[in-house]
Amino acid sequence: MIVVENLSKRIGRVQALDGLNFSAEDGAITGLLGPNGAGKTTCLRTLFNLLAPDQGRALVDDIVVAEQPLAAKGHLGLFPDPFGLYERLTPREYIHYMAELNGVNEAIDKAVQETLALLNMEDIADRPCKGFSQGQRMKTALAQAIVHRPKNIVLDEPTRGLDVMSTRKLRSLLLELKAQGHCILFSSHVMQEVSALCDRVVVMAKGKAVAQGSPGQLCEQTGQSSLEEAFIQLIGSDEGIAA
Amino acid sequence: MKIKRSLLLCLLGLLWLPQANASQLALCHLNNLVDQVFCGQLARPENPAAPAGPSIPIHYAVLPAVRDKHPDEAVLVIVGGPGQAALDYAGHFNRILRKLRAERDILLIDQRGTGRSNPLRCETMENMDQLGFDADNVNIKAETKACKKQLDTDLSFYSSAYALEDFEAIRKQLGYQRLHLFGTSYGTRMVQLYMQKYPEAVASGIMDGVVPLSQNVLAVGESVDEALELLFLQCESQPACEQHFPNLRQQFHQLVQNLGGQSYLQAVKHPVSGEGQAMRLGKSKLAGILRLALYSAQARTLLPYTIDRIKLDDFSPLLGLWGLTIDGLNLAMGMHGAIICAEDWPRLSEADRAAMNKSLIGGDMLAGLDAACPIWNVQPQLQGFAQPFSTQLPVLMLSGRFDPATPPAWAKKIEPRLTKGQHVIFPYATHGVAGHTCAPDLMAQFVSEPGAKLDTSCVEKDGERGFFINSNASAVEEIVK
Amino acid sequence: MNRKVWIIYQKEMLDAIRDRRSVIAALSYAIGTPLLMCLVFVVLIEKFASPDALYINISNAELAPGLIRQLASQDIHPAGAEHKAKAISLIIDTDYPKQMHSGRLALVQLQGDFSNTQLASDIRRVERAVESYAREVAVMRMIARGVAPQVLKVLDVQVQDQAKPEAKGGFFVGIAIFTMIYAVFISGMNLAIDTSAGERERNSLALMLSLPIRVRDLLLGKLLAVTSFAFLGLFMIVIISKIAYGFVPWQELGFNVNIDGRFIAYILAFSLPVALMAALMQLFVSFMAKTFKEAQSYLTLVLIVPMALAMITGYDLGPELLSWLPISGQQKALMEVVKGNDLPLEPLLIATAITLSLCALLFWALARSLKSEKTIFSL
Repeated sequence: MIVVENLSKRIGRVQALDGLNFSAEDGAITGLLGPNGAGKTTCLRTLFNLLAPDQGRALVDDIVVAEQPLAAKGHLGLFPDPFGLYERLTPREYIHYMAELNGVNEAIDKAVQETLALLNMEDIADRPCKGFSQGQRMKTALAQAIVHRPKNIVLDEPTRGLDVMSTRKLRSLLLELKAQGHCILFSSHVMQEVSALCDRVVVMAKGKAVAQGSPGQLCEQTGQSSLEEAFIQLIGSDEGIAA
Repeated sequence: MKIKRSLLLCLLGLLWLPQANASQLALCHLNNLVDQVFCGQLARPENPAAPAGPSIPIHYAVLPAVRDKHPDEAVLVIVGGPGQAALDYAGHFNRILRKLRAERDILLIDQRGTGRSNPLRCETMENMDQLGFDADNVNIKAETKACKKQLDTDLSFYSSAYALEDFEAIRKQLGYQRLHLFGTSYGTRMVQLYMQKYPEAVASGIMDGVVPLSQNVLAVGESVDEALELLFLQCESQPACEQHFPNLRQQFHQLVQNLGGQSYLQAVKHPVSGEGQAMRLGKSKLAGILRLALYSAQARTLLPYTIDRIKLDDFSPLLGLWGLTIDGLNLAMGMHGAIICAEDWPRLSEADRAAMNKSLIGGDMLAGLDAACPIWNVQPQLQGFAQPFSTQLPVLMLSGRFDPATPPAWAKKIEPRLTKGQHVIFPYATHGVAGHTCAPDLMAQFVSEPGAKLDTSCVEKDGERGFFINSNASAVEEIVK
Repeated sequence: MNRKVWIIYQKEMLDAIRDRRSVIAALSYAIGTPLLMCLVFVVLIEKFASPDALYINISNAELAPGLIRQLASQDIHPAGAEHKAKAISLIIDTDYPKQMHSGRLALVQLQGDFSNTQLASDIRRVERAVESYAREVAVMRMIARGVAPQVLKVLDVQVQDQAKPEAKGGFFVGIAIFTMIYAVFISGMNLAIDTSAGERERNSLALMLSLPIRVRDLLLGKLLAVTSFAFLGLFMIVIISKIAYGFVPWQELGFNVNIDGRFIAYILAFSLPVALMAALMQLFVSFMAKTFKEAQSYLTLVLIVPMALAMITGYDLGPELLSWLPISGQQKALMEVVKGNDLPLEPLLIATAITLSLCALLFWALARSLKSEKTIFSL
């Protein structure tokens, strides 16, 4: 479970986070939706202790990130944007490496093999990542995020640049992980994706959570029939949001 | 982890490895040699027949190879005289043997009785050639007696054969398997003796100014005459010389005849000190000066002019040539006598004596030896000298065509009996040609591959010198060959 | 060692070994430099050892047969139909015979383009030959006038070099050591950039920092990998140098360059801290850069410092202070060893201590900067 309490962060002249509050429950997919510049990435970085908040705190499975960063990070898996793969390693080596760094100490090969199987990657497992398609890269990135079976999985703009097939595959994987009881948090500026996947949506604008709830609740709350209209009303503009 | 630790220990061990030490050798500086080299000494019994008796130190020096590609070989330098000291000429040999030293050690040994190895020298005898000295009336007997008394030793222990044992002992001490011998003049006798007695310890031999074992070194008298004759012929062949000094030969013989046995006293300036002094000039002194001038390829170009000037009572050129000899040979006279009186004087035949008496300097020489040798009183050592020298070992012989001591004809005598012998004659060189034009290259070539045929074309690069026709310059006309 | 450091080290090494650029960078310098130097010296020595016959223009040669003879004996000849002359002229004055014969100055002009380095040594060769002839004639003139030529010598100057015989060639060995020590800077450089600025450029840096590992461990793993490469480069260049320099006929120049086991042990031991420092310095600079290219240009500038330090020491130019500093200190100690002198233990220890302190300082600063959000996101 991920909880963010009253998180504020100023970067330069911009108040990137401004008293952000939300929580993402286990066994649910939580979407962080907001236009570009709303503070989604800053929020995620704070979660990984890459940024120190000016105020407030983030908790991962009740561990305060800023106080015990290593322990907190041990409960997280990150699907980054961009992926940042090592081109000269094969997915098997890469995932193995990430598993080790994430603290898997025993039966690493087995964990790696299972992950590869889960993502249907056996055919590309022993080819260097160089020259991979976007979909293959996505799978590799996701594999490293989940190889150590973290309770919480964070995805930063996961579908950006993915083709339709890859997006579908990713969705089904996320649903599967949700079913296994993981807490899944992802940031996106793509409404459709959020509405299709999320159990809960946190709508962000200017560093604040302007609304949270299930897509249905949000419609209700704003009195709009479609989610799209609801967003526009919540954010105050439709700038930076993709349909 | 274990491997790592032992690796570390290995590294540490390497750090504290002692430097290669050169046992008994100590760093030292030698005459005219900038670099430090190694010096050492070996105590040897003065009388080899009595090893427990008194010993003398035999000093030697090793000019270490620049890159010791042949650590079990060295080039042993044996100098002439007899009576010269090899270590005194370290700078000279370092220069001319530069290419040899590149890959091999150079070993210099002060032969017993010379240099630092219990030198047998006498002040008085060495000052014998003073300007005012009457060379024709020296009391050799008294001088020799005084010297012998001063040295107070049995000179019979200083023969070539005994010295050879010293060389061999030093070779063993330094751990060389084989030596390349390089002897000059009298040193070539040592080279031959070495090859005869210890052929397994010799890799090759270079002889510069060859004295064959069977050749009595006292025959130099005739060599001087021949060298003078060559000089006259050469002057006649050069138009300028012929034109300025016609009848040079005749003029010279006349001069010698006029001087006869008497000596002229002349007021002159000493060529070195510049002080006014009386010079006594007799036949012996004249012959001695001319003889030494013939040793130098440069000085001999002044001889026609010098002879010509004497006719006009101008002794300046002669004085200048005499000045050249002042710091001359620096021989240990006791050692010189020990060798000559044991190895050459006893084997003079009547015919030899007759020939010597006929020559310009031979008569004086013979008289001197007949006076001195009985006083030096050394046992004749003639074994090995009678039979002609021959060897299977590679030999390089170097001669200068104008050599007034060891002419090419001497080397030619043994040439047929050398299975791997080569003889290079430098057309315009005199005595001791190792430093001449490309001789150092030839020697290096020879030592690096002793059996191979040398390319001696470079010998031709040396051209003929013109004779000086006045006190300033040689002839300007094209020299006719 | 910390397990994670080891894991990171292994991955970095694997990654680097697969990176052709890093490997080529490490090897090309280490292999190329000694081979190139070997080649250059073989050619140079060849030229030096047997100077070719030199053909020059000589005007009025017939007026000075003695001089021409002397030149010929040193393999300097007038050009003819078969041999083209180099652009060097020796002009013998028409008054030469008259002047020579009267003991006056005889004019000889030696002409050539002295700025032409190709000709300079030949010009000097002719000059020396002409001068040696003049000296010889001078000596004969003295003798002809009844003066012994040795009075001109005045002093018997005995020059005595106190260096050990093996110290000869120290100059060249200094240069060789410089090329070897510099290898630790060159060999690890590409990897240092790849693993820092490259990591940032590939966007994998943030991911790495998001993992449950200490920044210290991450850095240590990378540092060890870069150091390994630097050290490997050093090892290679030392071994290749040993082999390659063995083929150079140094003895023709009057010295030897002998890279023996003891020297190898010393250079590897002394250079280890330098390799560490080089790796840290390169990581430090590269982490400041956003891209590979940017890091490369920074490092090219920064590397001038150790290069200058090593070069000044190699040519033995700098002040005494250099024996106490990193790089130059180790290098000087090695040069002393090669010259057969005692190991300057105290300066070496101090230089090593300074090197290691610098390493600690750099490491601390680097770890600190990687915890700062400014560095991570180049804010």
